[in-house]
Amino acid sequence: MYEFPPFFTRQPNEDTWRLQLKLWQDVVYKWCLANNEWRLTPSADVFTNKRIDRTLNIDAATHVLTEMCRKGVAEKLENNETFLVYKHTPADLATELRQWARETGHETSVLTFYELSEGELPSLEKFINADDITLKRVAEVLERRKEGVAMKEEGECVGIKITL
Amino acid sequence: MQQYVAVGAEISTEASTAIAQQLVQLEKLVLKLESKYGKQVLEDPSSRAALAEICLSLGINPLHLSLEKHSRTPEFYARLQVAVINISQGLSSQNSGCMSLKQLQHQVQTQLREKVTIKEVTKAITDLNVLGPGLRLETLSNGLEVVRTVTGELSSAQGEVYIACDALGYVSTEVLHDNLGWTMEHSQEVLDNMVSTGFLWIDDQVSPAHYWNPGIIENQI
Repeated sequence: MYEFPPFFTRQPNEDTWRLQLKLWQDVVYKWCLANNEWRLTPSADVFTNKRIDRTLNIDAATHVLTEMCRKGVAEKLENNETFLVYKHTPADLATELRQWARETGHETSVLTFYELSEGELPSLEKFINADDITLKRVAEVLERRKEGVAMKEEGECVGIKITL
Repeated sequence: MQQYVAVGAEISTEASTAIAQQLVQLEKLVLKLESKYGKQVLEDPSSRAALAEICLSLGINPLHLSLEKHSRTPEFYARLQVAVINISQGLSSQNSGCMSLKQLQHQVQTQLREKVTIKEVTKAITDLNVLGPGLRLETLSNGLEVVRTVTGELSSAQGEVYIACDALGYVSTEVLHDNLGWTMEHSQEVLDNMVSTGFLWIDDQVSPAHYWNPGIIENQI
């Protein structure tokens, strides 16, 4: 797909464009995973294939990233054109954390972002190297589900208190 | 006398409300019966006929019963064929009488609001051919399956584009002009048409634009 030149031109047929959008989201996620680089702009390297000299234009690329935000697998960062792609979505991580807390008797524990992202808690591999923004979103999901509260320090979110 | 009329009217209203209620109950019962024993009923022709009769007398369209979904009945294929004809006729001016089997399947599903497999669409088309050659199923040299209305001047033009695509990987207005002797305008028209229906993908980062057959990559999707 990535070697197919017209993949880098937005197709006029709506159905085709929808398919293209879906395929591009896949490409973006795999690129992030392969490069371990989760922040990108619409002019990121992933949108250019140097081998065939084709670039998905900024408009179309923005569309791809915006669509990812709409699906809850990425978010637009404040004040610039950068998007954060979640390695694991906050919704998935929140579910994982609840299960873990239940199984390991941490129903009322406080977990700091530091502990989570440094991998200090056993069998929570998905949280290793998670960035603070994603973790903050996990806290928000848990708050919405009434399963946790965000712990703050000087106005910054630094941890999660589980309340099962 | 007036009193009798009033009482009479009251009684008949009551009676018709009661009957209406009973009918609703009955309809519910039939639908329940159908969802519970649909499969058995379907397998036994006489109970199927009996159910259809009950449905008709109650004003329920038997074709809409969910038992039609358990397995493909002749009625299902009839509906499918009607959809296939509708779509291939309705679109023949837009797509020059030719569309990929996948697209047809997609549109049939939208129209019937249920899942239909490629195999079922193919069967519907094959069965339709008994009635005369209206639709033809073709496998292009690159393996893409297309449905073609047998009339339709432009569809042969599209076929030529496909063959050129297959030989070169992509085509352009110039390629068509040089190899098929078409005017630039005619080439552009055919290509635009095929892009707008999703048959070809355009690469506009070269001049003149290249047009590719997505069949090459469709297998990877």
